[in-house]
Amino acid sequence: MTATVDAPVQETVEKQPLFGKKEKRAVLDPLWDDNPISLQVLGICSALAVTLKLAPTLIMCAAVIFVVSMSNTIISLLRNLIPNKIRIIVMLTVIASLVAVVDTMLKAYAFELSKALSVFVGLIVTNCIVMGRAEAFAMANPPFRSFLDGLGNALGYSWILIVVATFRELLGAGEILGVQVIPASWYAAEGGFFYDNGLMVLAPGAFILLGIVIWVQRAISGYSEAN
Amino acid sequence: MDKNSNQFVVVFQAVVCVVLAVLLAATYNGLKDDIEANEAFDKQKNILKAVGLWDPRTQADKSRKELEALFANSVKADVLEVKRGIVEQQVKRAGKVEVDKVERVQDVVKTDIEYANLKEALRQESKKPKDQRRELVPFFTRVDDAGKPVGFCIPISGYGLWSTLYGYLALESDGNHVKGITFYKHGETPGLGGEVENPGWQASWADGKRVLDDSGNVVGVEVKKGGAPAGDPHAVDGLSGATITSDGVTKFVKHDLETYEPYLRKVRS
Repeated sequence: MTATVDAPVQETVEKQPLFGKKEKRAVLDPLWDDNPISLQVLGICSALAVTLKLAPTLIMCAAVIFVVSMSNTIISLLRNLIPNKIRIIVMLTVIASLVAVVDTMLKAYAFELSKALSVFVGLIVTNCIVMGRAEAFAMANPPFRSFLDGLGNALGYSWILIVVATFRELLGAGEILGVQVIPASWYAAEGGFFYDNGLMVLAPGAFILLGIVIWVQRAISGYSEAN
Repeated sequence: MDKNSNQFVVVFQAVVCVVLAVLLAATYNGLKDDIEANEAFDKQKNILKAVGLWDPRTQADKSRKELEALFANSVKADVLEVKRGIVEQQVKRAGKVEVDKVERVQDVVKTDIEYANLKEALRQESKKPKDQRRELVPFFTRVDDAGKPVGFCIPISGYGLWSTLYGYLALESDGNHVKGITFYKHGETPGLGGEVENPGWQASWADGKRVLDDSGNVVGVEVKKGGAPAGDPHAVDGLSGATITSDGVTKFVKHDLETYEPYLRKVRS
């Protein structure tokens, strides 16, 4: 019933298995029980903005997975060195640099998609999930566990985006990954019942869909705000 | 060492910044050639789109090779030199007639510089003293199979609200009717100023709009807030929620047309 709480913040010196219980929780919890979007309601801006079509969404997810897991790893490696007074600045420097690296790579290898994502790759810097995991987890946990936590959170973010984008592209354009999947005979123009839903192409459509996804996810996982 | 001491804080952040700066510079340098090739191809695609040789909505499946071949065969790219001079102009100000010095484009001539070498040529020019620098600009001509010009295309750029917008404006061979407009680079707000990329809005430019008035002066096309009157050949609908971007487009399209006007006068038929 209750939402899980992050592992208590303490480091033990005794030998632990490489992939122990804590590691497992770090990567699995954010996928469902502590999902950054549906339970923590973070990263909503980009979830609305980049989910128009599935292809750019997948690129965005890959970018976020890279940035969150790498920033968590780097911050965790530096955690005993980072002066407390400037930790936020250090995190931002690391995160912004990683985002700039991703942006440059996209321009070199996926130019069209990087244009479709326009400013939103750059805006990963301001995605609360990245900074939130660095501050809440990586500053207090060893590198491998932090890496897994970053991976888990980014995957938790990604699967929700992919669900939203799949429905938006399907209902808004009748396509999946640019391939027409709704048969032409279903369209109203051909005597069928289907219309491309204009609402799905706009941000409000994403908002409604995201709301439904969060509702369903919370209903199944049994989370409620009152707790 | 006290990691909260001022010295440590300064040194630590400096080291972090230097390391990350090196990482970024290395990434960019390693990928520079790919990025520049992508950007050059993107420009070619936008020129093809503007002059009406390629429609990305219906011909999205054309390969990069096909489009590059199409560009090489059907678009002639030249480098022009813009010659500006100072002219004196009488203006009435508060009842008195004053003489203002204004910079005007006096002539635009074709150079023998290859378009592919334009970037290098501009680099050379920037090393010269300012008064000897030549202003070099690209100019594109759509040619038919016989090599006859059937349209022209000029680069347009200027300030919107947040950013400089870059694009192309294509004209019919009369140098008057608009054939198409595209934008390939800008940093305007998606959904507002970013709607300069909207295919429907871009198509409205090609809907019989003209850039010259009846006596042949450049008037451009106004991006009109509140909507263009039906049938007005010198106005298109403004972009909702993007007045400053719209005004910017109006201004720089006219300005760039004026720059090219002496050359367009020579080539238009």
